[in-house]
Amino acid sequence: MDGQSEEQLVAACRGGDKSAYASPVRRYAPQVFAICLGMLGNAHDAEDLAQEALVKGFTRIGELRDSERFAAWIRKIARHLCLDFIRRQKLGRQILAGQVEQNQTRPSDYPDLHQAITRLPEQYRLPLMLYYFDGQDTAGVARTLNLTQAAVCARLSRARKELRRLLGQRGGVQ
Amino acid sequence: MSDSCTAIQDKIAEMITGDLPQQDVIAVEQHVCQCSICREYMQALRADDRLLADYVKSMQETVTQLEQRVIGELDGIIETKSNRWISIGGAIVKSKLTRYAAAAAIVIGLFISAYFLGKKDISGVVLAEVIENIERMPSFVYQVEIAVTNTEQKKDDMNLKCLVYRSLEYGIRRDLLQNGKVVSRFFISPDGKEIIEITPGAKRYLRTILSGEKAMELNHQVDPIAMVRKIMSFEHIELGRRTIDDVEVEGIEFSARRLMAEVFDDGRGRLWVDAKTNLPVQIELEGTAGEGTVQFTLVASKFGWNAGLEASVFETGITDDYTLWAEFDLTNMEKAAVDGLRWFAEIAGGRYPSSMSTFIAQKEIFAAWQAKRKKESRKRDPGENDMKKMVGIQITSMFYADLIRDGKDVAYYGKTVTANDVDAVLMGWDVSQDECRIVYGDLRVETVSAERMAELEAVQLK
Repeated sequence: MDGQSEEQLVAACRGGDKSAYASPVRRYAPQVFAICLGMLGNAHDAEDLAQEALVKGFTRIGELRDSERFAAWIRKIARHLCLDFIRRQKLGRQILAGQVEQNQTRPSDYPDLHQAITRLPEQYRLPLMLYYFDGQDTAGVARTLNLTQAAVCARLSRARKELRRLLGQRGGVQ
Repeated sequence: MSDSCTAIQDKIAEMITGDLPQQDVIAVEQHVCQCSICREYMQALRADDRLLADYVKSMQETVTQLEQRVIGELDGIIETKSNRWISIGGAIVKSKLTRYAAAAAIVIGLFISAYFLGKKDISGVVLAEVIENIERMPSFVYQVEIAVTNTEQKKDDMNLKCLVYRSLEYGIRRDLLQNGKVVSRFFISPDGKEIIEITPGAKRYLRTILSGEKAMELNHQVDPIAMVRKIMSFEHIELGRRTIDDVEVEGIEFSARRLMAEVFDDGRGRLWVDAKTNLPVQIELEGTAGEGTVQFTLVASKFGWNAGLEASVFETGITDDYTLWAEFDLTNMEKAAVDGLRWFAEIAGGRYPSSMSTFIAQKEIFAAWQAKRKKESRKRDPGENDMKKMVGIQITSMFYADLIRDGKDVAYYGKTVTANDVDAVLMGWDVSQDECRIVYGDLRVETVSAERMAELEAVQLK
């Protein structure tokens, strides 16, 4: 991260150094967005919650006990916000059932793919989003999700198969 | 499809990710050479992989905007906490909707402090010394507190604060605060030829270019000296003496609409000056817009004379990561005003603002834009074009208010006239005793005789 350790950046952010947080924001924004998109399946809500999570993470950085755990901490904030959002919006059942209403999805240049991603179960969607959005390999996704690499490979494999099935239902590859 | 095909297809899915052991890759490749179903499946998964990569690429702009917003918001929070003028503890802007509300507030605040200030012409005598006294001050500061109450929609209620820094040498800076947080900064160059409005939270800015006479006029409008001059040119009532913050003051009352028609449809204003120093102590404006549904109170106070402001106070702080949200050229004010109406109608499906009060017009265009966005299932920040169109109507309000400040007889029929009413008078004002200027429903502009204007208005009023 620009030659500075996470610990150094966290320390600088704690001191209110403006130049310090731009770098970690850019580093973690794709991952936090991927987590939110993976959990919510809805890009515009994901944007809002990712922003809230990142701002919360940096403004409350003083509460972080172990500076080295910033990445895990901000992911946790994002996950909690998403869970809270789902609870608040009573969307849990709908999302699990893959029934996010059409008007809650964003317009996309890839409407069939977007719809198929939305309909994936969260346990498949989340690793898939992290894999593609954050450019993590399966080992990285495993660390982020606190899973074994084998479990991530299995989930990604199932995600691909399910995605293929959903896209196939909608007339094949776009 | 055989059982072996099912097992192979599981492996194909892992192969795409690159996590399949080499010996399994060979087995898969051998199988797909012979099995057309699995071959097609592999091709389809590879196509899906490319599609996902492209999809993610298409979202890159979203992620970049997210990064910019977060950094901008953090900038704003840290700046707020470190600014000695501002109380700590401002609320964090939590959602884009809140940001839009803030944007609306920015727009409302854009010219408020500037237009607080009026223009030339002296007719008073007693307060003339006030002008001379202000002119002696190389720099000063003051604050403007703005309260907006909507009797129909409580959610529109707002409390804003402007901090204004004025230096004869460096120009004007106006910070607009909502909930203790700076939502925008407004800078006017010393020559008055450039106005920059920045929104630190979004890292964006608006730029307005003026030239020649208009620059001079605006320079007058942002100058408290000119404000006092203008107030003195209005019909006013002497209020006598009272005490404000232990200071004995002397006041006059005037029409708030006359000073700020871009805010008020109706209302009163009061200027209070220190009876000893003859410097302004408080300026109060209160009135309504939107047929009384929206009430405004603006109070300028806490004047700090000879503030010793340095050049650094007037630096915009625009860095490379700021983007230009919209640019306006007010060289031809009438044209800019008509453009504002055109853009409004474009967004609002042919309607025009029901009132020329900036708050009402801005609220209506924002609602129309949101409705349009919802219809298109879009939820994006307004782009440069959207922003320009939404802020454009503010220029129209300015133009309208300018005419009123100049004592013109101005008529506006936006409540009933739409873009389809081609030959109806949308806005009209007298340019001389015998002639009027008319903007029609289709936004043609022409000069007609006063009789013709009266005929057209009579038809409309029927």
